[in-house]
Amino acid sequence: MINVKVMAVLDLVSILQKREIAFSVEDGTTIRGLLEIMCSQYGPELEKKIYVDKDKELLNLNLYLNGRHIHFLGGLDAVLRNEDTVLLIPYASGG
Amino acid sequence: MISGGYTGKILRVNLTDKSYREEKLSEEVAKNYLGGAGFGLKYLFTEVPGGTGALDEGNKLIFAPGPLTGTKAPCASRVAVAAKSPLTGGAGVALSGGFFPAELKFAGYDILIIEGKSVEPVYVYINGTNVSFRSAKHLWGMKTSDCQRVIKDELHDQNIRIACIGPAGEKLSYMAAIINERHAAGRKGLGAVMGSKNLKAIAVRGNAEIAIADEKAFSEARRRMLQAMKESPVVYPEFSKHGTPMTVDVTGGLGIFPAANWSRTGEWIPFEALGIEGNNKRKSGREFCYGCPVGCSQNKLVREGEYAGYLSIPEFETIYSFGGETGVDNLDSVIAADYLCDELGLDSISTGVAIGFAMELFERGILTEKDTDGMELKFGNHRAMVEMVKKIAFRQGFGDVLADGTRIAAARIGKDSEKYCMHIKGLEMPGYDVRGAKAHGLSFATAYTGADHNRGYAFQEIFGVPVPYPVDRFAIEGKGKLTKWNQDMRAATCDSPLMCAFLLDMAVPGFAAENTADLVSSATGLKFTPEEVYQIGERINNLARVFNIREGLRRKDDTLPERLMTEPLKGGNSKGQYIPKNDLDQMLDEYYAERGWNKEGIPTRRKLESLGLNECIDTLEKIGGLKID
Repeated sequence: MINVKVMAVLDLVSILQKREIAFSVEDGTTIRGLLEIMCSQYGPELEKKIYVDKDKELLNLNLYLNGRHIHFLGGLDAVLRNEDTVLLIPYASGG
Repeated sequence: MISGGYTGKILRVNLTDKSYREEKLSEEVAKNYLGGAGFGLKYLFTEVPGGTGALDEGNKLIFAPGPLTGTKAPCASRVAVAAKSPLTGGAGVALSGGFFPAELKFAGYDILIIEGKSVEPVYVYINGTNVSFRSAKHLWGMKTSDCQRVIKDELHDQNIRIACIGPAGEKLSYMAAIINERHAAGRKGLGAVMGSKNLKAIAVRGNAEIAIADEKAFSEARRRMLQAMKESPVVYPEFSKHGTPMTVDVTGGLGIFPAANWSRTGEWIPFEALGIEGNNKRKSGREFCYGCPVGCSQNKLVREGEYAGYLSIPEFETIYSFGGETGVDNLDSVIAADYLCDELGLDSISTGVAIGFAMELFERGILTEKDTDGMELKFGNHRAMVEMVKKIAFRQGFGDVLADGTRIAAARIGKDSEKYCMHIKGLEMPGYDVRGAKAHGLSFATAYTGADHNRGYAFQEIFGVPVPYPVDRFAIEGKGKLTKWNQDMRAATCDSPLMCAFLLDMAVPGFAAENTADLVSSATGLKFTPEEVYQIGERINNLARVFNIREGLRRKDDTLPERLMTEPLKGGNSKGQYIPKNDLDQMLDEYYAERGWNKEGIPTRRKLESLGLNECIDTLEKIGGLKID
């Protein structure tokens, strides 16, 4: 098992009821796998917030692994390592 | 031929001899510079000779709305204000929304050029084509809301629109802003330029309608833009509800919300206090600019405690500058400081950063209570922070030391304090710790106005928008090309038409140039292709670059504060990131090459010729010791 930290901001915090959550997952778990675990734990409200549709290929938010956008790390198939931090940022703008 | 959008007229007002005259807007200028910032910079370059002091009588203050301002184009509510900046010594451009910009168009003008200097305080009243000069002796010293109220009363017109300065502008603070209602043309010290002319206010009333050249095509272009706004996952679902403060949460998550004068970014992230959670508790309605269906301006009211009664609209940048930057997590005090900046006429970003800078000096023992009028100016001391805003505006005590920005303050304080100064070209840093957003850093380093998030916002890095392509915020490769795109697209599609810049990344990033071309072509009757629109952005940035070169700015000025090049971030989701000098040089080389500039950042003849900027070639040739390729 490995330990990963999930960090969320904006309205995800109210769904997860925490800003940071620790997960223990199987070695070799991908980001996709982690999101599945989270959705099973937190239900359809979170699922709707993460995915555009039921195919679960298109994301409704930005995902970062140790600060780097997952687009540059293999996307949803990026494999997690011990002590990784996964950051979820819903679409936002305006600075 | 111009047959709409533009009014076709320029109003030139001379404060020295109290004269004014109308001039015709040339079609060539319209086609080459579009409007807004483009117009402002064109006239600034042509009419303000090199070496003119920013507060000299020879500097000019130019107000330029755009061809879409005052039309039914969505969110085209803005005006560009241009002058040589006292803070940077270079080209100064600041934008403002509200209703003043459209009113200037309704009065009949595409450009208002203020020149000269009045002997005594004055305000200018523009009522359609009638212009009068009125004494402002009784207004001198007034807060901006009082000034606007008194002018409305004495002109017997509650719907008149007014841009004015507060005490800070009167006292020539280099951080002074120009305020209309509670909107600010805030940055670069343009309020000091207005104050140097003894010009307290400009009151505008107009009744003309802005003609539209091709109503059918304009309606179709407008419909497409409104549809894009409706389909955006951000504009109405999020931005309309939360406004810019949600960026506290985003930058906090990314580990780039600056903290304690950028010494603790990523280590101290006051999400609950300063993010949307804290903001939502203080919401009290929202406001709309002219022609805006979004209403991002969120009123925040302090309902209890020592700051009870303060009401303002603190945007993300202000929450950064009076919050994270100063180590203050008391949002009520941020609202109070923001209110004071609006009323006293100060740029909230520069003011907060100047105070945060002083706080770090105090923490390090470089300043003591003897220097700070007895104040314990430590990080997190919100009472001292609010007090300092007033002292800066009135140049009282230690406030006078900070009133002209951090660069001049450091020169006055000495003791190696410059290395804690968070500015570029004299302009204080906005709220993005660019150690974790490298294109943002490159844009700050190269923007013609200094550390200005509004000149080339890298929304790809901050909000993950994959347009024109996905961007790795930690990488340095490719950032030159991206920064050119961001700066030119912003100048062409936001700063000049003039369109609210938030729409660029939220609604129209994939077709911004097409959107502008369609709207402006149909409104004006002039034909703009998307390629021509983009090239206008490039022309504007090159013109501004040559303006700055004429004023002595060079590659060495395209830099970052020392801390960002030597201190890796110690915590958060950008931990370990920084921009070593070599990385900055690599990005600069790429950026200059993409721009068609030489290694020293001087535009080449070929580039300037291709943009039709022959007057810029003449200017460069007259500068001694300059290598022009």
